[in-house]
Order: sequence, then C-alpha cells, then structure tokens
Amino acid sequence: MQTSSSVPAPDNQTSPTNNVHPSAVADVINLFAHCGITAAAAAYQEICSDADAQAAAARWPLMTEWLVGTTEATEQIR
Amino acid sequence: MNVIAVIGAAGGVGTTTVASHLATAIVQQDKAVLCFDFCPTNVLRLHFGAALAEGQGFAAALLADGCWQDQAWTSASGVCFLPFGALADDAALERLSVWLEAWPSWFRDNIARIDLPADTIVVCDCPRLPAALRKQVLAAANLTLVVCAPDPLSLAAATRIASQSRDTEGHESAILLNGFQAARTLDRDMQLLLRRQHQNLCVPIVIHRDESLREALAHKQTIFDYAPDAQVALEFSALATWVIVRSIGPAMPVAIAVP
Repeated sequence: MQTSSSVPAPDNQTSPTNNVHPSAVADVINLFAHCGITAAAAAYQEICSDADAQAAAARWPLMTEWLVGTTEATEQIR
Repeated sequence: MNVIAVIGAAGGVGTTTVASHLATAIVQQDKAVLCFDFCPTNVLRLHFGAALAEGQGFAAALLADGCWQDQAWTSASGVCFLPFGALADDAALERLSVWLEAWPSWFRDNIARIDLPADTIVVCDCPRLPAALRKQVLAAANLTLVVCAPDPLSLAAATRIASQSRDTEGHESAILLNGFQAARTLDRDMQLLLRRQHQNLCVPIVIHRDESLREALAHKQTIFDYAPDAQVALEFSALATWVIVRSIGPAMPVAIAVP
C-alpha cells in the first residue's frame, strides 16, 4: 500500500505548533488556564472586557486611580 | 407611592433636566406622577412652563402655615409638580433646615397622605445640599438615581453616593450617565469602566448630549414638545420604562375574552 506524502510524519504530530508564533501559543494556554478546557463564551468575553477596561484606565491616570480604589473597595465588600 | 430620588453627583450635571424629563416620560406612559422639587434653586418648574417670576412653592408654605399641599401645579403635558418656591432669604432656608432636621421623616410621613393613586411615582429633584433636604428625600426613596456627567470627578462622586445610598438607606441606587458624547474617547472609556466596575449600579441607558435640551428649556418646554423625534426623547422614554418596571413591575398580560 502506498503512503501519501501529505500524511505528516510522527514527529510533526507530536508538535503541531511548529509554524505558530510562540506568543500565540502562550495566549491559547492562558485562555485555557483562565476559562478551562470547556471554555464558555461568557468567560471569554470577560477576558476581552478586562483587557478593554485596563486599556481604558491606562489612558487616564486619574481613572487608573479610580479603578484601583473601586477594585479595592469591591474586594473589601466581598 | 414609589419615590425616585434624582440627585446629581456634582453641580451642573443636569439633575433637574433629568428629573423633569423623567417625570414627563412617565406620564406619557400613562402612569401617575408627582414631580417634587426639593432644590432651593427652584428651577424645576421652568421645565414645566411656570413663569420665571412665580415664587409659589411648598417650602415657604411649610414655614408659614404648614399647608404645603395646595402649592401643586399641573403642566400642559399633564405632570403634577410641586415647586420648592422662593424663600425670602438665607435665614428662611436655615429655619427650614432646622425644622426638617427635627423631623427627619417629614417627607416620608406626609407623602403617603397625599390623595393620589397608590401606584403614583414621585420623582424628586434632590439637592446635595442642604443636607436636611437631601436626607428627607433619601429617607423616603425606593430608588436613588445618581446623575453623572462624563468627567472623572463626577464619576468618582457618583459611585460613592450610589454605594453609600445603597448601603446606608438600604434601597436601590443606580448611576445615570448624562451628557454622553460617543465621539469623545474619555466619555467612551468612562462608560466602559463604569459598566465594568459597577455593573450592578449602572442604568442600562445613557442620555446623550443634545443641544435641543437647552433650546427646549429656553422655549419653556420639554424635549417631548420641542423636538419629539430627538434621540434624547427616546432615551428619556427608555429611562422611564426602566424606572416604571423597577417601581411598579412589568405590565401584566391581560386575558381577552373571546365571545
């Protein structure tokens, strides 16, 4: 029986990220670490929201202080 | 009675404009409303078409003879409103504050005695100062609506007032962003941060900045008469619906008898 040349070699099967940038791999690992293997869409949106909020606060020093203050207050209530 | 306290996070954030338009929008949805002005500036009445020189109101009547209920008016759009009135001087305001401090529950005790339908929504234009007036309204309120301009100081004050009101008075509080301009980066960022950090304190509606609101007041009208198709008119209607659902509950389906 002939073997197709398109079938990857066993070495490639164990390292599927050969052509992927390392930072992208790290992103995926972080995503699974944050949301779990069976990631829900809502949890993923939460990450986006976190990132947007941090970027928004970072643009304005006074808003950064407000964000830190309200986060600490929220943690104290919890 | 369902009492809604509309209070500004800072001066000039549009508290009186929000109170008057919220009251009008509630009336347009066929709910009974009494709009009560607790601000010594006495300008709420101007949104309802009262004369600038008119000084009638509940405060002076309360100090004089106590018969304050007779000071109410009805606007052309059907809003029943009670102006604060013009006091003679600062000493009169001080006397009123002392009198109210001695009876902290005066408003709560008396609002129930007014002959209005039980599901009437009382919208109060609540001042931050004097404290005696603010405490009267907050002690009676079922919901505190904190009006916040899209600026950092206003936002910080709004979150503090809303949290304190919820924690100390024990009723619902919500922050309403007023004068929002989506083209401005700071406005967008503040809205994002407010929703991210205080989702449970956010009114899910923002009131956009609209020149028509100032023009409507100059014409002694609300936006519903002056520019009914303006976006802010729709936003105030949405706000009224949100308040009605929170105060009275959603409309219940009615069974229609089929012969």
